[in-house]
Amino acid sequence: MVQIFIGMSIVFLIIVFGLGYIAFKRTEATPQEYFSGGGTLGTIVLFGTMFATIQSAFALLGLPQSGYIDGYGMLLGLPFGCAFLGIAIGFLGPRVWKAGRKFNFITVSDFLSHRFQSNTVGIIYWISALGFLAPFIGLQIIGGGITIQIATGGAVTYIQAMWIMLAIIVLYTLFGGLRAVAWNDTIQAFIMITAVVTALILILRTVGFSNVETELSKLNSLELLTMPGPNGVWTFKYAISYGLLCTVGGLIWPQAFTRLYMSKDTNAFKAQAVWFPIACILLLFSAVTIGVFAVTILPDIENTNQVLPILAMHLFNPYIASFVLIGVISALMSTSSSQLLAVSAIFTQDIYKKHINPNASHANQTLVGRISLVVFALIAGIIAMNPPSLVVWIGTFSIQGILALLPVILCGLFWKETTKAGAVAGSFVGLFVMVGLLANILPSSLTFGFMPWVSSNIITLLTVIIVSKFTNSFSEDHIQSYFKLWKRDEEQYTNKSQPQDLVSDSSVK
Amino acid sequence: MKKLKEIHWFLLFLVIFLLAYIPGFGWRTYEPLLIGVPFWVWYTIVITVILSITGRLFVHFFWKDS
Repeated sequence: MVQIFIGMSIVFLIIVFGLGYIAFKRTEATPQEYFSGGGTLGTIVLFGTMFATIQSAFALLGLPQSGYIDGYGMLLGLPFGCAFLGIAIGFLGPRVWKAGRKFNFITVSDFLSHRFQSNTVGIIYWISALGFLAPFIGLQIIGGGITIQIATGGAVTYIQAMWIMLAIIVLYTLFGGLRAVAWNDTIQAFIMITAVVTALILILRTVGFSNVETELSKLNSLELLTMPGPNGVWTFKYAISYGLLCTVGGLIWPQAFTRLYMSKDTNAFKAQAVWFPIACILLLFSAVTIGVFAVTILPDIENTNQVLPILAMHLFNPYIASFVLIGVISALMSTSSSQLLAVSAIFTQDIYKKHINPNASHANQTLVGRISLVVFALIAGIIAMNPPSLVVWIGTFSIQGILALLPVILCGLFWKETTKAGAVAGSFVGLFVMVGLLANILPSSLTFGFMPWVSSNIITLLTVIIVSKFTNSFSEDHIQSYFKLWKRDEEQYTNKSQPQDLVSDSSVK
Repeated sequence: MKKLKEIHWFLLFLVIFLLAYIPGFGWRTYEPLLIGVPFWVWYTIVITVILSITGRLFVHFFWKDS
């Protein structure tokens, strides 16, 4: 088994590095090329990279774990939330893309700083993004290390495994930039969906459709099939919070939002409304069902976040087991490479270029981007070396925390009357309330039973609206520079040529 | 006319959204099981498929018409 896994992994790595090398040859030494792939992603690659970036270790390790412990509850909100993300991409994508093309944006802070004419909003965003994203990268590496350790039967230790995986991710991301990440994401999205669906089919064949009820009944675990599950986790409010988290988070997480700048044209966004729901059903339904059915096969798994790898090695022939394990590793690699590139872009564009060396050449910015990518990877590796017992807490903390400024971003995209003061106040309040709720500094009664991000975002939205109502608006010219551009959103879907005013206005940078 | 269409699509997506989540209030039973999976899970899957089809129609008719 170990030899087969290593052999198949080598084939996989040849593909990964091959794509990375081709991307490297095509990537010029400019920040736009390195961090945005030169804005050349077509429909398939845009879908692949968005999907693989969003479906992290959580999908292939966390969902089977959730099914194993808490049953089907996750499926009330999550697949629909993810599916709705496709529609949301269709609505927001063209706006973000057009603004990005016109003003040469690379990061989310670029958009916020320019839209609200305020460096403060941009700074608050990158502080929150770096603070919340860095631990999340460590989390992916932890998952990868454990998976490889299990797959090799302990021949490769956890520490060796996590550093090997990190080194691989850094190598192809370092040289090929976003283009390498996006191409690999597309391959990895295909592998992870195929792997998890294959695993489900084989597990269903093993358990038998009609035996599930009997087997679960014997184990006194029938509650796995109902809401809110045996541990009472999946209340309606929690489920809807989770579903919506996936919809909005999938757009606003920096590694996802910046991908909206990268599309070749606005037509690529159309397909996401159709493809996302189908892909989400296949992946999420399969992953949770695997977890529930696993209870009937191996009811005493201790390391529950490794349900899928353990099951694969226990049930499948070595080739299929290795393929499933590579699917798990693909999910981890695709997300962590995107996150590393996102934090590297934030450091280079939002900190180095704006505050340290405003006159940096393109080549210099790209070099700083590469160096910072290695530094962030080392930080993630150090976090992963001693997997904290708070792994789940870190995950929940991070994925919600990054949404602190969600209402500010949405107001910037859709509400003309948002003022600078409203955006600044909303940013401060958003970050304060989010951290306060997640760290239990503020009373948990403020959440009303929903996940903390819901209350935090409602309070932030109200702050933006109230402050904007009583403060001075932007000049009409500034507002129109965005909303005149966006007014023609729908027209562009049927017109392959892009509007003339999308000619880059680099003066704003 | 365009505004009216926008409202129609908005209402359609809103209805699908509510259909997806509202039944969650009542699901305390797993029966009937279909192919070993609770009925309510199939319901969620069907709603997601409906969302996908609606998304396709939305893309085809609304964005094309504009």
